[in-house]
Order: sequence, then structure tokens, then C-alpha cells
Amino acid sequence: MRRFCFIVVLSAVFISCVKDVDFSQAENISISPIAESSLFFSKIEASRFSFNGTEITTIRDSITNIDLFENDYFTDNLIKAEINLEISNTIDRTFTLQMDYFNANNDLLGISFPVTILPLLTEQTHTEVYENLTLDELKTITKIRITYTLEPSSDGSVIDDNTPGEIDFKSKAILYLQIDSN
Amino acid sequence: MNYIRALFLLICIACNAQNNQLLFGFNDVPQSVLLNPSTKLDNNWYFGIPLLSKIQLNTGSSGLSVYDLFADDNRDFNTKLQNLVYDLKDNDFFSFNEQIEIISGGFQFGRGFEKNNYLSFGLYQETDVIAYFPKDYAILAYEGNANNIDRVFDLSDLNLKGEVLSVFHIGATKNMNKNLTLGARFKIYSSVFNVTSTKNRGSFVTREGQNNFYNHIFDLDLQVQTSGIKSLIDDDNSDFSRDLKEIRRRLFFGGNLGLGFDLGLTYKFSRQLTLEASLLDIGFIRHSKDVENYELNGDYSTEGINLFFPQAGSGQSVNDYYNNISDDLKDLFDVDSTTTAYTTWRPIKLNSAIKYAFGKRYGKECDCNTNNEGYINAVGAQLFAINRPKQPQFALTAFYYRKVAKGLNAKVTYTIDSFSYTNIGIGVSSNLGPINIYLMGDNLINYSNLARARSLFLQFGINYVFIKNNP
Repeated sequence: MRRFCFIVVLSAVFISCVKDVDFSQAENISISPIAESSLFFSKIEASRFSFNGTEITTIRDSITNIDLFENDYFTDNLIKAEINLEISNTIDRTFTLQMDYFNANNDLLGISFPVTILPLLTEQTHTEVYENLTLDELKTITKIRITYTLEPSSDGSVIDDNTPGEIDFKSKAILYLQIDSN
Repeated sequence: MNYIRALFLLICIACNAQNNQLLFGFNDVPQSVLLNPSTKLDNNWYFGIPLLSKIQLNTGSSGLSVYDLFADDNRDFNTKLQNLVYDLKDNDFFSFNEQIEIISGGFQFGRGFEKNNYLSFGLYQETDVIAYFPKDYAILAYEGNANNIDRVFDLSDLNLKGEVLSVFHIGATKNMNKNLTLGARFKIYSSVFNVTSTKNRGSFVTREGQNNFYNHIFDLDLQVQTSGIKSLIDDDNSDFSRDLKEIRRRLFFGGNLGLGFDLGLTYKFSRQLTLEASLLDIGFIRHSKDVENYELNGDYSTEGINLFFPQAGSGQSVNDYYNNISDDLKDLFDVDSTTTAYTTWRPIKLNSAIKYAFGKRYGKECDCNTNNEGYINAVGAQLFAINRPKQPQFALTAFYYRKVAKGLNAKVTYTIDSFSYTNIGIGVSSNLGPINIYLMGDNLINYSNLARARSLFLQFGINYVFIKNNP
């Protein structure tokens, strides 16, 4: 009898439960990482704007077949993007930097933008923010074209092969992601 | 004082998954011989009721309980998740162990009336999983790299191991003299599934760049080894019963095979004071069949895309440059798969105990036996250690054992490990005629709400036990 009681008591101890727990909370999971990545950079000497003693007004470069936004997981979870530029210009001339975005049909997109680069000024910054409609447009890009335009000189000076200075261009993207169970 | 602190630290990083503090030395239960081959069983012969002789479940998580994350307390789930990501350390882990004995048996043998030897054997199935918290991966996923410039993300934080296997074993216990008993057990492992990813190296860091804002530096040396999984996933049949047949075949020596042994020692300093110690699963498994390994290797650093602004007709194009970077990155993250055979070591376990028996009972209820010299109480301390991928884990136990009544024995334990400092366990073995039933469990304090428990151990079984001097 004593043994029987003991086993009954022990069994009661082992009968246990899980209380006050709600696993459906996991459906509310949401994390918001922020990634930063270097994008483009270039160092252009003043002489690049001269050819056989004549000024070159525009130089450009472009990157085609950008497939970053083909990754659905990344694209679906990207809720905001920012592009930061930092430009140091040690040339005594004003330039315009034009960032042109194109989609797969080669249409020039409205989110394209110009930046004025002032003469003899370092660490000029520019920020572009893409949210909602502009973000949607950003997600369609497959090509970027970057153009420097040499603005007319105010004092009649001309860039030649010996003109000092350079344009140092840096850029990064800040990507705001939101990952949730939806 | 420093010693105490060191000991405390040792215990802090410890754990008890696979610790079986209740069964160790509990020689009324035949399965105790599996934890120490020198444990002298208290019967002439026994056999386990097939599939019911030992069912054991052992799960633990060193850093959190289910309650910490899922408590229905109106606190924001993401706040709780965030707290966990920051509170958990890369040495925190989740572990799971399950064992089911398929068959088992044993008998005394030897010359003369005093049979000094015992032979035991059996086949059991085991699942063993350990996964460390991949802290740096979690932080990177949670925060991104933006607020972590110059932080080196350590990719070795990915560390996990899981296996399902069957173990055939045969062991002998031998009385060397009146003080010393030795035991050894030979094991053949047959692995059903194995996943091992314990040797990851490398890092990811974003530093200030020279030509651009940042330099992103990747150093990847990651590897996951698997056996027994590819054929079941890749096969064309959706016929689960065929997969089951294959699994059954592997349980009976058809898997990747390995060898191992256990060693045990029991030494009586006096009639009352005994030392017991064992080393279990000194062994390996060679994985050569149905192997698929995944590797990610490479060093790479990038500051982004260098624009050339090529002169007309120069033939240079940033596109080539961009394509190279793009290809390099794709190569870097391209997972290579191989079928190279590999070897895994089983987690070696150390069990040891010092036991002091006292209090004789006289009278008709006495079922004194040679092992306990007729004492009905015992107290002692046990140390458990297990070799795990990152570091060994420890647990310390104090115990009280008592022969409660004829055919009814109980053991109470108090264990300190990395899951808790207040783990109380109870084990009971009862002989109803020749039927031996045992039931053991720990973390009793948490049984009113299991969700709060960081670890859980449960074990029960039924044996048919024959004891000659049992009236």
C-alpha cells in the first residue's frame, strides 16, 4: 500500500503542463536590419578633361546589366534606400555630376538626379532618399550612367594637360530592410 | 576565493544534456550498467521489454526557456526577441538527446556459487543534437552592418551537430577482488543521419575604405558535412514507407558504421565508501555512404566599383570591371558540394561518483544485498562531463539514495549546471514480482509549468528481472 501511494504521488508530480505561453506571437516577428555598402568610386585628374589642348565638356561611364533587384527576397524586404555621395574637388572649376537611372526598357527614370560640384571644395556631400514611389522606381533599374559635365569657366581659364587638381568621388548605399512573417 | 570563482565559472558554462544523474549508480535498474559497465547489477538475469525497457528524453537550452520568448505577458514579441539576441552568448546552446532501447538483456556468469561476472547486451536507438547560438550571424541579421563598422563578425559562431544512430553493444562486468570491479563495453554504431558543421572559420567585416567609404572584407571557410540525407531527399519516390524501410535497414547495421567502447571502474574503499567512474562512447563513425558536404571558401575584399570614364575608343569599360566584381562575389558565395568521406567522434562522457552508504535495517522487511552491504541509505556527489564541439560541459550533483521499502528504491538529486542552479530530480525503481518499472525525471520545480524549464530529463522503462534470492 505504501508503495502504491508513493507511485501515485510521484505520478502526480510528473503530470505537468505548459502554461501562459502563446506561440502565435511568432507571427509578429519583425526585424529591421540596416546594411551599408560601398557603391562607386573614382579619382579623375583635371587633365582627363583635356584632349590635345581642347577642353572636354563631358565624360561618362555606365554600368549595365545590374541584377541586384532580381533577388525577390531582397527587393520585397527593402523598405527604404539612401545613396550618399562625398565629393572632393581640388580643381578650380565647377562641374555637374549627373546620375541617370534606366530600366530594362532603357527608359530614363525620374529618380535620376544632378549634383553640382563646387570648385576647390572638399567633402561636398549629397544624399538621395528613396521611399514609396521613388523606391519602387529604384527597384526597376538595370543600368546606371554617370556623367561629369564641365561647366563654363567664370574667368575664361581653360583646363589643359597641366591643370592641377582632381575630383575624388565616393558613394555608398544605405539599405533599410524590414523582414517579417508577411 | 579564486578557486571558488573558477569552479563557479566552470559550472556556469556547463550543461547537463545527456547527464543522467539519476540512473548513474542506481543498480536496481538494469539499464544503469549502460552508464557504467562496472556497475554490478542486482539480479541473476534480466531482459528488457522490447521498445519499452528504456525511453529517455533529455532536452536543454542554456540561455533561455520557452517562457522567455513565448510568455503570454503582453510584452512585445520583438522586444523579447531583441533581448534574447543580445543576452545570449555564442557559447549558449540548444541540445536534445533521445534514446529508445530496442532490445536488452543480461545475466550473471562465472564459476561457483558466487558468480562474479555479468554480461549485458542490447541495441538502442539514439538521437543527439547540439546547436550553439550563432550570435554574430544573429546580430548581423538583426542589425545589419551599418552600425557595426569595424566589428568583426565571427563566422565560427555557426556550430552544430546532429545525429541519429543505432548502437549495438555487449559488455562485461568483472569482480577483480572484494574491492575492485571493472567493466568494459564494446559498441558498434550504425549512423542513420548525420549533420556536422563544427569547423567553421572566417569573418566578415566592414572597415573604412581608402578609395571609397568602406572596404568590405570577406574571409569564408564554412563547411557542412552530411550523411544519410541526400538519398532520402533526392529520391524520386514520394513513398514514405520506402524511406522508412531504408531507415530501418540503417538502424540494423545498414548505415555508416563506427566502433566504440565504454570503460568503468567501481572501487570500495570500505564497506560504506565507494568510488564509481566511467567513460562512455570513446568511439567514432566513418561516414562514407550517402555523403554530401557543402563548402564555402574564399577571401575577398571590395571597396565597390571603380568608375573609369574611358576615353572614346580606349576599349576599357567599367562594365568589365563590374562584371568581374559581380562574378567574383557570385563565386565567393557559390556553395561547392563534395562527397568526400568524413569521420565524426562520438561525444565522450565522463561520469563519476563518490558514495557513502549508511543505516542498516533489521527485520522482516530487509532485502539486503551484497552490493549495498545491507545499508539502506546512501549519500554522495557526482560529476558529469561531456565533450562538446566548442568546449566540455559539466554538471555537479549531490544525491540521496534510499531503499524505501522492499522492492522500492528511490534516488533524489540536486544538480547544478548551466541550465539552472536548482535542479531537483527524483528516480524510483519498483519491483512488482519479477517486473521492474522505473521512472525518473528532473527539474521537478518547473513541472507546474514546463515552459519555464530550461532543461528537461525524463526516463522510464520496464524490465523482466530475475533475482534468485527473492522470495
